Amino acid sequence: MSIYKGVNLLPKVKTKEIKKYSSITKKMVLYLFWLLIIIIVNVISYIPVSLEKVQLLNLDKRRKQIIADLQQDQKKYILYHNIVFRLQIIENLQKSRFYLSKLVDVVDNTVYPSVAGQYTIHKDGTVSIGLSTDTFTKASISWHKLLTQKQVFKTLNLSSFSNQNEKIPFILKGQINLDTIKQDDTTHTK
Amino acid sequence: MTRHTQNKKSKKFTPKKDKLHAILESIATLTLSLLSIASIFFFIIPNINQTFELKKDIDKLTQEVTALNKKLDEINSYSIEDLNTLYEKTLQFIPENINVGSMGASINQMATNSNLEIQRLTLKEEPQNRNLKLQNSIKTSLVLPLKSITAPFIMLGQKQDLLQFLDTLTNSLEAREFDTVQLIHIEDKWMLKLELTHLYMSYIKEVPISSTLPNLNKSLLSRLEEQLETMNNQNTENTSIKQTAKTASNKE
Repeated sequence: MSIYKGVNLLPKVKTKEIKKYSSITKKMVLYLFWLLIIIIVNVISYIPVSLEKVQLLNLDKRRKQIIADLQQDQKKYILYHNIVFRLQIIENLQKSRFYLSKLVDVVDNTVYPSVAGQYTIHKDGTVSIGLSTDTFTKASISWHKLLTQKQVFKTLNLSSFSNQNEKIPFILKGQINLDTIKQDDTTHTK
Repeated sequence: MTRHTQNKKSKKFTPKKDKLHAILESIATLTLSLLSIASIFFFIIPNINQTFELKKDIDKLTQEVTALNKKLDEINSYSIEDLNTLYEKTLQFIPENINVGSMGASINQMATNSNLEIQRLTLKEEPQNRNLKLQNSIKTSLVLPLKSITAPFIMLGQKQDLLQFLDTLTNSLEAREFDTVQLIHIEDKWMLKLELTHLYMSYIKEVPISSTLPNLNKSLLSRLEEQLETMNNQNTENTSIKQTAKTASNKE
């Protein structure tokens, strides 16, 4: 026996124990990796937020700069908008206008054998037409003819009729489609 | 003897250690799981939501900045003199104030031009407030100090002349409106009943700086200029006709 050979006083490590410790180490690494992933994911999820915030701040800065530029020349800005508002009012008024002549044309060209003697039109499209003829049959023919103008008249009802000195005056009341007698692009040059 | 004791000890402590390890492992797993869930619910999801909200805000602000920039460029493209000229032109259509007397004279002139006879003209001198609210998307609203004077009138004349007069009124870009029009046949003439409302607006001294306020309608402006030119030409013609008539009468 050599004097260099020592005596092993430590207990012999079993394979089972080695496996156990290696498994603990693996688990520790796994936990650390898990934690690292949580941190990385959180950091990554915050990157777009911070980028968007920077972009928003830059845009807000730009907006304030433009407003400051506009305020610098406020007199011009106010004058410009006074023109804009006036033009807008004119535009709104133009949209609500209608031509009585267009309605009169439609009625006069349709009501034969009756004759129209009164036209009343309201800007909400309510219309009243006073007509006269010599027989009830002719009156009903005229009413029927007007009803065939479906693109102009939405509704048209017989409001009243009478028999006066061999004349039959009658009034038709209803609703018309205002768009058909409103200003279009070609009429403004009229 | 020593090895035997140590073996005994290790055997004695192993179950406890295993239990401790198991507990520590469970705690670590539970903590990390909770941390994962918490980071998903309290960090990742709110961050995603915030990103979407910020994106929306950015889109809105980008639109606003673009509109403001466009407006700044447009306003800068006009000189103060240009704007003053344009404003003077719009005043011909919506004045800052209405003189009731001159309005009556203007209606009378229009009637005479169309060979019509005014039977009755009433001018209500009390102006009506018709404040017009301009709403925009930035939740600011601007109230335009619009006012009106109503002039109900009755005119007599031929049917075609009355219809032509009405068409002229409708074609005109002047700030007038009418609610009800009535055309009645009376004996050999026709009667036109009309309640004409004239609008006017004082100069607005304060305008909020907002990109959503409307831009200048250039096509309408050019129509306005076109009509103003026609009106001026007509006035010149009328004046020259009057002058010719005057010169002729003087010669006589």
